[in-house]
Amino acid sequence: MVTNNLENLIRDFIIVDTHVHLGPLSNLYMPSGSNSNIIKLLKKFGVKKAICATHSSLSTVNYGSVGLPSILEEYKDFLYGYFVFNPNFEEISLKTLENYLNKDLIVGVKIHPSWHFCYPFDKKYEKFWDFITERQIPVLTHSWNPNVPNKAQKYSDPFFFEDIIKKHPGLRLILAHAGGRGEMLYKVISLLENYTNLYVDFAGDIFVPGLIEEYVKRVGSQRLLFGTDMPWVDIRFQLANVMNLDIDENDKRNILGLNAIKLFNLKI
Amino acid sequence: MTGMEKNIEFFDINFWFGENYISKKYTLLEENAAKILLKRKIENNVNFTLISNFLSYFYSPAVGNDLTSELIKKDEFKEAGAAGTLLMEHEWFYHPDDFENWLIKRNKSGFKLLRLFPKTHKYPFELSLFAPFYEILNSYNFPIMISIDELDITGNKNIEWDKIAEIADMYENMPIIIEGGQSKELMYNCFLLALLNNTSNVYIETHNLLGFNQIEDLADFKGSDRLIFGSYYPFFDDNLAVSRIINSNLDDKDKAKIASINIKRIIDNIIII
Repeated sequence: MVTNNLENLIRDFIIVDTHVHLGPLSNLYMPSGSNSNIIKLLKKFGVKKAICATHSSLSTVNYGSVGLPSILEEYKDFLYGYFVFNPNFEEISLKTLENYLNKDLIVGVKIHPSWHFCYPFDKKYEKFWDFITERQIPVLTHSWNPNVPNKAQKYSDPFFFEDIIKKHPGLRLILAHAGGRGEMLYKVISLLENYTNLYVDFAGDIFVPGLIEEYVKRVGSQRLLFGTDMPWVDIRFQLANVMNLDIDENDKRNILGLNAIKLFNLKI
Repeated sequence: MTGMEKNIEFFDINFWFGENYISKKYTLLEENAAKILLKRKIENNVNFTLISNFLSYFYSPAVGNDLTSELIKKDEFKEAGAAGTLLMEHEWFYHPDDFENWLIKRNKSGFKLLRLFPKTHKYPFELSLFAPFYEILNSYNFPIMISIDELDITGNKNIEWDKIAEIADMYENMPIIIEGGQSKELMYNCFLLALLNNTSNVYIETHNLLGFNQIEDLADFKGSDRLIFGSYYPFFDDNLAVSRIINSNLDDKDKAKIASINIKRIIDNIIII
């Protein structure tokens, strides 16, 4: 039963959280949400490694590039990082990215078209897509259904990435939140069916009963990643969700950690 | 897991049944509802549930309330621990003087909570226009529940938190339960802290307190007395909602309060005889 003690249920699983945020943000207040508390909870609930993008690197270019290395250094036994590419500062962001990719603990790049108000097919992303494909670094992108009240989500329609993948067949792209809401969550499955270098995570409040089972049924479990979106969503909801799935235990193992270890070439 | 955790009893105040005409996936027909409630009782110790009828929400509050009233009389629903959730019937805006008798009658037939849907069903909830009803509800300590989605009148996440505070301040005997529906707006904001801090009769339903440690932080802030368990079934898996409380970093007494004790106290306080 999933409602039992989660720590016991997940004891034999290798868990990698591929979608974590750390650090402060202007519209986010969680009284106990310090980095150390967040990491403590992740560890308590069995996470062996986590990959994080700092809020600062999403919200500023200057502070962001300073903040990530210090957090990675502080938690180097546990954390890996995503460098955040900001298309609004294309040149400086690409230059910084070039420097960052030499660092061991940076294993991917995150983009957030909605946060940065820039379509992924915009010219400002062009050099980035070429650069990142050549370097063979996985990219995690925010993806969402554009037909929601939040107008900024129009920038992150998962189907915008179809042409980019066609143009860059070597790109390994993770659609975070699997399209976010409503029917889009199911339409994204067809993208995964057509493009084998596409991955998804179900980070955030994506708790649609039967959804992940449908993904496993149609595209298998090897391209599904475990991401919590901590601290936006507490890991206890995410773990209960996966442990409650009506799928084989091996599929749970793939989702919870094995896929991430392979995709990001992590040392556990 | 401690011995008590295994025995924590849950009382779910946010459970939908009936035909959801938008989605077969989220439809739980009347004939299957008692079976599901019993299953939850056996598996997750959800021994009591306030059931809300999609028919009341999508079609007619009056027709839905009548149907729910018939269902909760049945043995299988009684065995499953079901009681009813009322939805405001439009007729009471035309005959406000009859509202009190209606409330008494409905309460006696097993309804324990009034859910307000002012945005969807197009009626006011504001202090100035809903006052005659609040007066009566307050006089009987009768609880109401309102979704954050229903307070977002503009659709721009402009939640009218201050109006809730005004109502709570004026009608202190009427428990006001806020639930998050599908919205993220119960999460990570200071409005919620300010609302709890400035009222004594506002309670928060737990199903989408999704943020990191949010349940523990709120319990620490104003006490576990202000949190009430809800599953938001069938949109949200009740296993997740139950699991979050069981796996919270709270002592067993606080878990039990959130799971069922707080809502039982509120219901026991209703003074319709």
